[in-house]
Amino acid sequence: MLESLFASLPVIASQLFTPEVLFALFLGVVGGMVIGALPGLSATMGIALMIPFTYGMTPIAAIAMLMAIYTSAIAGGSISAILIHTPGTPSSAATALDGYPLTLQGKGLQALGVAMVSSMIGGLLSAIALLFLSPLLASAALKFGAPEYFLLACFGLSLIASLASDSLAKGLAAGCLGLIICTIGIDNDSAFPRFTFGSLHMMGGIPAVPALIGLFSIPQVLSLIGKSIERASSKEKMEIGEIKGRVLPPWSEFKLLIPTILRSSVLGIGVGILPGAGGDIGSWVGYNEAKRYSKHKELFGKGSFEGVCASEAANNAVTGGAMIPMLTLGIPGSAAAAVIMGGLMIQGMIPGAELFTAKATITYTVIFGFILANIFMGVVGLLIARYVVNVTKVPPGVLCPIIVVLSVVGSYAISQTMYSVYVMIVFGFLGYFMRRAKFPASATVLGMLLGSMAETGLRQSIVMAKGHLVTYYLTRPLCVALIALILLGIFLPVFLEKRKQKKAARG
Amino acid sequence: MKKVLHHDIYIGGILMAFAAFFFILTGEFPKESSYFPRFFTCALILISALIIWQGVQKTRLLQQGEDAESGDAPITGRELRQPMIGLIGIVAYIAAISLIGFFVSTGLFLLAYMWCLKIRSIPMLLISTLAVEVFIYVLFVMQLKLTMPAGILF
Repeated sequence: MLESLFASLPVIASQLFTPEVLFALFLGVVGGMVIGALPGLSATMGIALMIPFTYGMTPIAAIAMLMAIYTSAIAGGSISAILIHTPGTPSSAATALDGYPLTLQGKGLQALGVAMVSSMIGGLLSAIALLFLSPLLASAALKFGAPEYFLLACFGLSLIASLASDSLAKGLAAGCLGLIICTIGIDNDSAFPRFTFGSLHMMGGIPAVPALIGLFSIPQVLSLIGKSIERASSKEKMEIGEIKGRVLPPWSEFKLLIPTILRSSVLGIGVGILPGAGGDIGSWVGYNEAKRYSKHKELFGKGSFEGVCASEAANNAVTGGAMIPMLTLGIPGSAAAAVIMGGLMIQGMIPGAELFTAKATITYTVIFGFILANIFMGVVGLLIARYVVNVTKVPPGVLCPIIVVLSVVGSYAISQTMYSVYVMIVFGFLGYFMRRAKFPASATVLGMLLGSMAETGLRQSIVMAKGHLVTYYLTRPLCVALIALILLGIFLPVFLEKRKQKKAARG
Repeated sequence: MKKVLHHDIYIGGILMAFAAFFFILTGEFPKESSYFPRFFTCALILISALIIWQGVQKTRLLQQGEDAESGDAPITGRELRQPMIGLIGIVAYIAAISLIGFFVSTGLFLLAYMWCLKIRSIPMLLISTLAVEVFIYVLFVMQLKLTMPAGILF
């Protein structure tokens, strides 16, 4: 598969450097940065809202734009984290710890510069990992059969259940809910209508994109309502930290940050590959490890450039890492990757080995587009970050209804029927309570996206096993390995939590 | 002291009822079509029972005067009031689309929603509404050739 990459480089270049793709990348970078800078909006929500805009685009431009939004939104979150002490996205919470104190010390612009460069390097390294690791994993995936795909879906769900929520039970419940929702509609094998309640619309199943838009956008709006009324009533003015001076620290200081950036990037790639572990986990892992290795631990939390670059390099490195299992196995590494997977499938690109064989030139062009997006993001971020922060002055009371309208239009555009809009609002209602009660929506999304693969795998396994399903699974080495990983994924966090509680009780 | 049940009990109960209802419906399915939904509805019933049990534990802790973990405090009616009013507004907007058409209902929704969220600057209200309507018209109607729902007006 790597040979096909080198052979296709001229074709990739000709497909990448077209006005449509370059414009899509630029739009994705700038739009993503603005979305990321706005506290209360997330990268996942931004991607979900933008999917309908990609219908009229070619697959390369569409997917490249969505990936550009992803990486830029994560970087954009650092702008408000540093300048107004409010992380624009959950992935920038660790950045705020040191970024804002730096602003108070008059070094806000340098902190922004460090954040942008670290984000660019982290994103770039993860894009390179995506380019070289994905074909290898896709080759391994060729050895997977129906039984392995069923267990792979279960593994992805078990990991997301344990990582994406404090409560394993809630994570598993959310995943099961997604799998059950996926069965609504005409059964592909027997053509029997399941859970359709006589509705013609429901025979086509629950459309994924309106459900995604509902799950991620509407809860955000409903949560912002209270804040927007409070802010308008208090006539509170958004205080933006003073922005002056040089945009990067001197080279003699910056070069000392390079080992931290590189270490955090590698950690971020590793975290991104794990389903369910997104930028927020990646940034804290990067931050904590940087503090552990730092020669100036006392500065962390009081204005350390190391803290800023560690958090930002790691959270952007998660973006490419999360794409690796998504493109090769159909198991998204983060909620945002799950939404991008929905966008990918709308363009007729099904995750798996086929993306690196029959559709290799499209896939590699998209990955090179992602590399380019990270470079654009660094350059554009250095140029405009100090101005982008002004979008935070837009009152939430204006943003909320606009997000609702875009959600309605985006859902309607899928099938040009109001059914999709109704699906969107039902999932919006569900998503709000899931968020409030701490059920991870990403597990439900994953269940909905992986449900067909899981069911097809299970049914084919039942036929192949000829009545001895358990023995059949246990005679396949890959299946045994996956079963072990599933059990580890479910029980290890429980075991570690119990050990932590025992230590706390003793100490 | 007023007995406050942790919301995990209610939510676990609703999930269990949902799963049980869907499990019963699978009785009508052909054998092969029923394996998958039956397996996961049963799994959800068991997991819901666990969530209810965890809810009972959390209720006991609350009654002993212990604070709930950050973010896991019981959901109160007061907390839900504003979001649910907001949701009713959204549902009313969606219902109005089929009656009076997309652009008219969207314009009215934007103005009303922003007004309710305490945006009182008339220029901001009008400019935001107009900008969104024009943006949607140009991108979705002109570029993507989408036909937006028309109601009794246009």
